[in-house]
Amino acid sequence: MGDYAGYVIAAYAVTFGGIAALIAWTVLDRVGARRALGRAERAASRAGDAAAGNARDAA
Amino acid sequence: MSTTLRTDLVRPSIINPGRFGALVDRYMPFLAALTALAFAVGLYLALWASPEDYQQGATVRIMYVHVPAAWLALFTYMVMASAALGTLVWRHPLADVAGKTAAPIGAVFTAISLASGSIWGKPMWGAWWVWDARLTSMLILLFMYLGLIALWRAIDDPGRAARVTGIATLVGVINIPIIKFSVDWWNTLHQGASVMRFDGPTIHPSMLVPLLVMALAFMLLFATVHLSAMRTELIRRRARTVRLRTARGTR
Repeated sequence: MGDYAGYVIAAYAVTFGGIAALIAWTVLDRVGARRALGRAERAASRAGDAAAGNARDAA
Repeated sequence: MSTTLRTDLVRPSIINPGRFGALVDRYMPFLAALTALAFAVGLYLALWASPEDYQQGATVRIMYVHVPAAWLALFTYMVMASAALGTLVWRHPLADVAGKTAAPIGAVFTAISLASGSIWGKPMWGAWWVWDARLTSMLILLFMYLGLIALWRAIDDPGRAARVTGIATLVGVINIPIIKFSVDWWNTLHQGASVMRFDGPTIHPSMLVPLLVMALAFMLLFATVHLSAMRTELIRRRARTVRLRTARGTR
């Protein structure tokens, strides 16, 4: 590629660096969302158990 | 008699968020593999099979990433504008999810287009940046994407955030024809259109084919990342609903 090789390599590095960042964001965001859903469902389950316990105590 | 309304019976299957998630999970590996294959073929054609330009030399190879990134930057904004219409006019259940998740992707494509264009501009124009109409309107597009992402994050209620950002997105559509026709309306250093012209492309097929294959690869990448991000947003909203329901139940 002669004198311009550095420019071509830099342009492709910027492009595929950006694409890699986009894919990494997609994967990490999915992991974070799944963890948030897991935490929320565990909290809901604990709250349900506590409510059932309170109802039993009241009865 | 049960009064529960089954949403999958009310809406056609593809626009039901639950059905959409199942479809995305099933077809995502095929879409990702197709994207990787398109990039492999496109890169081979762009870096090895296509000829160098008689004036620009090897720097013409930058075109194969710069132009598809710029096309996708504009296309993504039009996807967001369509999603904004879907939210504001038809209140489609997935429209605001599509709009919200497209913005970061559009911002990345715009940033790639600006950065690769700047790297191409230095050897060809002798400058990394000029305040040319095309470059400036693309920079404004990047700021619009960043502004819309900030607006989504600034409003807690997803419904209200969708309406506000939907209106802002539709206002911003004015910049798209300005970007497209900036090289015709003003005297710019950036070259005029050579592919999307009324009288047909002016590029030789030996360069046009690699460009179109790379454009297809970028389009598939957009579809893969966007559908995946939409699925993630639906999971996040489900978590929010569970949290709110738990908070109401424990009060």
